[in-house]
Amino acid sequence: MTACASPPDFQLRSRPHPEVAFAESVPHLRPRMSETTRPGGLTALAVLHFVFGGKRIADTIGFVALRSRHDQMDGDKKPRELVDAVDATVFTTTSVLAVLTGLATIAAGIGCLKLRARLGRRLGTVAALSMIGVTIAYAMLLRGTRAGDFTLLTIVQLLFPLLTLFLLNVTFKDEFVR
Amino acid sequence: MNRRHTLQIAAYAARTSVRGGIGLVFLLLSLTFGLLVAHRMMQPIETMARLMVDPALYETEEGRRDAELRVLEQMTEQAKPVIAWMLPSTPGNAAEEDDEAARETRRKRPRLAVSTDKDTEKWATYLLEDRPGILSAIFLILLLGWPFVVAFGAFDLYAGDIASRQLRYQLLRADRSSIYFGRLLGLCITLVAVLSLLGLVVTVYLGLKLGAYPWGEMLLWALQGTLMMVVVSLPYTALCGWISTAAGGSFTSLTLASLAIGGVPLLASLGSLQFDSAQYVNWLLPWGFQSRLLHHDPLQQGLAIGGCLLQTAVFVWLGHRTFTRRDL
Repeated sequence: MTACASPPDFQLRSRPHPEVAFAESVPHLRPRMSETTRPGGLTALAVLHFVFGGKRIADTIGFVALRSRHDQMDGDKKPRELVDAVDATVFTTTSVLAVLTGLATIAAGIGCLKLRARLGRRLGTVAALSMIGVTIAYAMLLRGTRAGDFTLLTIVQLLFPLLTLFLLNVTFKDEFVR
Repeated sequence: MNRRHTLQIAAYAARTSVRGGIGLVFLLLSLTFGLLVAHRMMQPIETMARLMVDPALYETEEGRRDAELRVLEQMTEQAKPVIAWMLPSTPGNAAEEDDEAARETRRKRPRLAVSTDKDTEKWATYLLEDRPGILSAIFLILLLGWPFVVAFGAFDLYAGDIASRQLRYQLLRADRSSIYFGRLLGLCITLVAVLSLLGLVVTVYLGLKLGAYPWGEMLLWALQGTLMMVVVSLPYTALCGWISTAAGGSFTSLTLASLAIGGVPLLASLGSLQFDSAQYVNWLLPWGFQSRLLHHDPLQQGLAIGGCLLQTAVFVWLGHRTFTRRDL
């Protein structure tokens, strides 16, 4: 029984085994006592990715809708000032970037759930960095207007991407094993 | 209890607090709550200063800044009755009106009139004028909401692991007391870190954006306020720890902790409509005296700190008793 169950030796001899030291130096090849399980925090982070990615897209759609109704606005000065503050090229670029960031954030959430290094950690890092960029860009674009500025709300918006950067690259760095 | 084990468990719990889903959501929730409270307090002031001070009217930047500071002073003066309303009146002044008719009148009057005695006014002046007023207002609002945030962070200290029986694996290496105190201490370290970060961000933002107060004064007051926030967090943490040891699961623990923390002031408010003495229900938790942590009188402040520490000791003792006796 034992002889039948063992793998054929000639195949193994043709390729040398990796050294044990090599396997231990690479985090995702470290021997584990049990099957890989996703930490609760990573699951929560994935869910937050969906929430914040969706919010980013919804915000951008709202902003685009606001701009498309620009001419019909007459009473409310606040949104009008908000739209006037941004010129067309910058508005389009920022909006496209914001939608892409939202989509990338959602994709990174899927990557976090599946523990994929590229889709989860790397794309998540890129998405978080671009989310920081988009948030700061909006704050700078609307600077000096009544509609917006660099306020504590901007810092609140920066909380999630900053936390994501820390979590993906420090706390959960070794969890992306696929 | 093994001191080394306790410290090891505390350090591990604090370091890995965000590895659990609850810890991560707590971190995000607490920081968001604190910053939103600060934003809500500061936004009207910033907007009013911007609306009332037209830059075209001032030749220099300094002139405009002075005008903004005058607006801030006006707003602080207007905010004083609101802050005085939020602060509880001193028991000594309330005791002066001791006869039945006076008590009846006091009950019928709106609370604004009751609490605006001399001491409360002095207290409000201390908070708004002697100390950085905006920071004081932020700390007062935070004191009201922070207990619920603490409940969210502390409800699963033990309950989840008790329900899933995972604590049995830790019991092979450490005794129950070490686990109990270690986890509690770990959460306290996390709370201190979160509150310090919050205090630092708000203070730096306030200093850079408004520049209305001297840095030294603001940092000192922020340090004191943060310390008081930590002190007020302790009894609620211990209470949630006790509930967490007694509850059969995480959800039960969260529900019971929220009900206990929110139920006490609700019961006191509803009861005081009928009986004046029902207000003392608030003293079962720090609700009754926690705003005195920011009092101008050191004696009152000391008593409030003592009250918080005493309640912490009681809840820790109850939690430890439950944890060491229950089936794990």
